[in-house]
Amino acid sequence: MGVRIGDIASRFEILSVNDPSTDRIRHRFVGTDEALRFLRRHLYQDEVLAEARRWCRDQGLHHPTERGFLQVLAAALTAGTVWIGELERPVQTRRGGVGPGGGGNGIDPVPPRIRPGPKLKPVAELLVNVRNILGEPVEGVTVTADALGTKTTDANGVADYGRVAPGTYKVTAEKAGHGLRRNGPVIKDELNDVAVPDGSKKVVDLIQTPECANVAFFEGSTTRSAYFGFDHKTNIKPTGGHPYWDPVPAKGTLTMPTDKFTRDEARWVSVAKDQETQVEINFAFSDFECIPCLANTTYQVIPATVAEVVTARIGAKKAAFKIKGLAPGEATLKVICDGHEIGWFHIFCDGEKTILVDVACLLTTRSDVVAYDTAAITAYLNDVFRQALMKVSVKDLGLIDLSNDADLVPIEDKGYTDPSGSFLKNTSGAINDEVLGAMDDKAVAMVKARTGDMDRSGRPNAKRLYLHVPTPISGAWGGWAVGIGGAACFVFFNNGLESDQTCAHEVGHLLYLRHPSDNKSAPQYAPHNFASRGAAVPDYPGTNTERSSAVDPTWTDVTWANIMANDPTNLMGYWPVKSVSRYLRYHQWKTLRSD
Amino acid sequence: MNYVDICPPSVVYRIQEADLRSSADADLITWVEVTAGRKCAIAALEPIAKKLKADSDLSVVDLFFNAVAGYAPMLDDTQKDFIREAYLHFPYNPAISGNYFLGLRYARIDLRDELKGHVRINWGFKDPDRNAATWDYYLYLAAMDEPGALDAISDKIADTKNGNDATLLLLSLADLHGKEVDAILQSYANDSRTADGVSGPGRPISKTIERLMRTRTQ
Repeated sequence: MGVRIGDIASRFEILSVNDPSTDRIRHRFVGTDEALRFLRRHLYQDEVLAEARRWCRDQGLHHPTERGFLQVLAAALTAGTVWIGELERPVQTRRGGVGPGGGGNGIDPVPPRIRPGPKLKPVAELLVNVRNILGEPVEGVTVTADALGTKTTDANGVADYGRVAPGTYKVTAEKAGHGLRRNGPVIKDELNDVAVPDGSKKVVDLIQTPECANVAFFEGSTTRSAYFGFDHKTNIKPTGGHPYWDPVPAKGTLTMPTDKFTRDEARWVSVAKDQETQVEINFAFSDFECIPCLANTTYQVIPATVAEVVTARIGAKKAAFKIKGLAPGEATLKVICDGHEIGWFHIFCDGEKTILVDVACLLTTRSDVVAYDTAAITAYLNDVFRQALMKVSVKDLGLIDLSNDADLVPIEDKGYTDPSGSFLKNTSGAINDEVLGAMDDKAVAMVKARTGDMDRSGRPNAKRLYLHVPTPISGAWGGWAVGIGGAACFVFFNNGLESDQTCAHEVGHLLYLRHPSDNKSAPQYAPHNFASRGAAVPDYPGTNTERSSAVDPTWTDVTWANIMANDPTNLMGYWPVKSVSRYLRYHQWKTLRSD
Repeated sequence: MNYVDICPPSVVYRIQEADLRSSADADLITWVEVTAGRKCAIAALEPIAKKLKADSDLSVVDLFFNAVAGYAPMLDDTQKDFIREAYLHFPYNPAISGNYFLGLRYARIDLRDELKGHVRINWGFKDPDRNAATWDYYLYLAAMDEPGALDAISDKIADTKNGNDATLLLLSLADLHGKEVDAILQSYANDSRTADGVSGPGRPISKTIERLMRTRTQ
């Protein structure tokens, strides 16, 4: 018993060599190729092919693939292991001819009957692979191939059309939200005129990659020594606003503003001429984190005369990024990816400058000797003023003892409206400057009179920082500077962080920095931050460069104007948690360096 | 006397090993004085001056000139000569004009001819600390009795409207000596403009002049 092949009108069947059927006309083939052609003509229908495969398997003819099956079967026909029998003798039309669909040598003496045979359908295969730009398979892509219809890719990104009629097809792949490149239009991939020749297995590779956009934004370095100043307050977003990078736009279509003071959270970074500073570059993506695209990212300083990029290439979502100062001025670093502007920060560059601060303990009849740590003060001052590209050289002049200066007593008394109260309480600023100015004059004269070889000498041009703790009640203020831009300041704390912070605050006054509450201080702050004086202060989370600041639970007088809600921990404000109040912003950098 | 004979060996070693191309050694003279006393520090000016090169760190040079100013009254002519040579090794740099001219002024080293044409004159500054190289230069010229220098200084103060800026310029001018300077200061004895205090108005200029005249006559 054999198996019928061909279409419904076919008279052929495959028979085993052991089949004794005598009512069949046996077809013979010159060779395997001819047998294969015959089989292809008659085994083009899936169900017939499947039936033939099962029959052959039963006969012990094994084949790993469909294509291999036809070849195995053709070889078997040639070898005579199986044979093709025709159910009825075809009508002979001419001598030596064969009927249509035969292909064998024909059987003498009956000529084959000429009649329409089954339509001949050559056999080929088509397989479509759809991958993203990273070479990963994309599932769920709709693939079309003209009349072959549509298929959907599987988990391997494959749309397998299997056996198809040879020909030329237009093959497309399309998935919503996908395109040909990372940051381009949503568009299908397509190949026109894909030739699928007879007997071939054509594999077509198409791309559908998820559309992903990326943006770059910057935080400061977590290593203090690696950077100078990092300012995330000058361009602080307005209430209800958002940083330029959040949310990440669906397409990388950010446009860097021409105004460096646009409130888009773009950072200001200070860098000394001929030195490097480090920030942390971060990338955020929309939909798809295509990290390899970062290799296409470039960095541009505008103008290039102010700074240069040290870190040329980034390969991670978060990385250290360095620039080097070249010349005094201001610039912007722009990040460009695939032709899109995707991030930026602004640069303030100037030559590093050294300021001198002579520190001393000033003792009077109404004060105690102060414990202070010169190294700690030095470190604190340098940490603070490094933001403005300034180094601080501190010299400890030791104890300046004015307790035996009788002339000073009545002057000092002016600092007490209540003889048993706090120093400088309810006194005017002019009186404070008079009292402290006189104490400074006395101190300068005393230091100048020192003649011992190991006596510390004061330095010309140095700012003078006096640690002075009145007793039994200290100053009504934490400290006092004798004028904006003056030469001397006083700190009324004993050793400690409060003292160090107050030292920096008061030295800041000597270097022309003003309180936010000062009616002349507007140029020293971003206008919106200046305008936020006295407003309720929100929580601010910690950053790489600044500690968090919570709403002050003791703070009830929000009308006090020396705290800016947008920048509560500014060095020159009165934030009650002194340990976190050490930050200077762009306008203060400018003030410190010029005006 | 040679610093090797005055300073302790450890200080001598530190001076000899100092890398003046690095800002890490900017405070060297201060460290020497604190460690070994003034005589050693003054003596150390000579080897440090000789070590200074064109590629020395600017802050090193800046603080060296400051030390020259600080120790100027104790320098002898020989020391001033090698300091003069040190000055000549460095092109004038306005970034350190304060200490640069202060050292020249206090040590009375005359480089007026050498400096001619090298100092950009710009009276647009507001106060004596920031971008005020012209002010520093003219204080030096005035101290060296250069004709017209004090007049220019006086004019600058007179043109300054802001009370705080005027106060700071007058305080800076008071570092010079002489009757002409006294006269300029005295001309503001009744000026009611005030300096800027840290919390509101500070002292009136008149009070500042009173204070300055008191200390100048002591």
